[in-house]
Amino acid sequence: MQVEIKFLDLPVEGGSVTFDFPDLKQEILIIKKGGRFMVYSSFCPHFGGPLELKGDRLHCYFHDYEFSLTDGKCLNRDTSVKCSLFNFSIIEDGICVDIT
Amino acid sequence: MKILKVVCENFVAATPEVVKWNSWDSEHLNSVHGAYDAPKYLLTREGEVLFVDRVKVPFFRIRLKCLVFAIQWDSENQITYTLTPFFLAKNTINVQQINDGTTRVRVIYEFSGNWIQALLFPIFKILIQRWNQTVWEEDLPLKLRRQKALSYGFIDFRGIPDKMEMRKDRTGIYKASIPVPTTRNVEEFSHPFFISGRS
Repeated sequence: MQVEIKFLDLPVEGGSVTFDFPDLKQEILIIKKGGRFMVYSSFCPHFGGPLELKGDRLHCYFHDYEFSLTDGKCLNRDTSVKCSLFNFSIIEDGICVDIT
Repeated sequence: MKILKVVCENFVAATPEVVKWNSWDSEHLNSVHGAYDAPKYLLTREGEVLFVDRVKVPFFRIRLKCLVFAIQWDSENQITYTLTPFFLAKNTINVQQINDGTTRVRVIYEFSGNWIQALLFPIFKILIQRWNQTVWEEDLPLKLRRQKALSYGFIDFRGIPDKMEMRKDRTGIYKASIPVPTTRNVEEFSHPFFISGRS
């Protein structure tokens, strides 16, 4: 299943935006860093808290879990849980994200 | 012996199991509530925990060292005994589903004290109500988010399933593990006296 997001709605450099798709039962977090967009599930894989961009990592304030932006691995706990990264493609007026 | 009893009641659009998850989740105490330090657990077993903590007293800049024993007494009631240098407290958290989408959380705080301490009960009452409201407001986003995650088919330590057909609403089938499992080697379980009856 794919969703399209217009360029106008995407974050500016260093920022992040969350989009909820209740019908598809997924919420995504799009960030822009170093001129590149990256797309993650915004649910922390631990207990489902909201992931936010904090410096150079993803952070969940529920339990202070932190994840790598590049591979989604947890950086500050002894666990193999990883946050989900989604593939996307650039289209004419935005990006198209595969969220299934 | 004098007893102070204060009842606080709140409602949330989440299941009783989500409320219990929040109540029995030790790892959020430090990250979400300013009133707690990281608790140091001494004992955990299915449905019961014993820990020491330093709890911040509302309005004051002091922290009280507490010994806390919590037990899930039955499916609706969690009972907690807290011993501080100044008083012994018993809290009963009653969690009851009142309709399909709403759960009522009633907390009964009871403090025992001598007649001198009883003179402070009117102040205690205000502090307890303030405490309950603060903790409730800090916890509310966790309960609502957890409810939403489960409704999207969220699985603990995994996330939202990749496949659409696996994203089934789990709010009705979810049962909280008590106490809530943590990841390995967390600070909360580093006390030398710690024992666990859980495999």
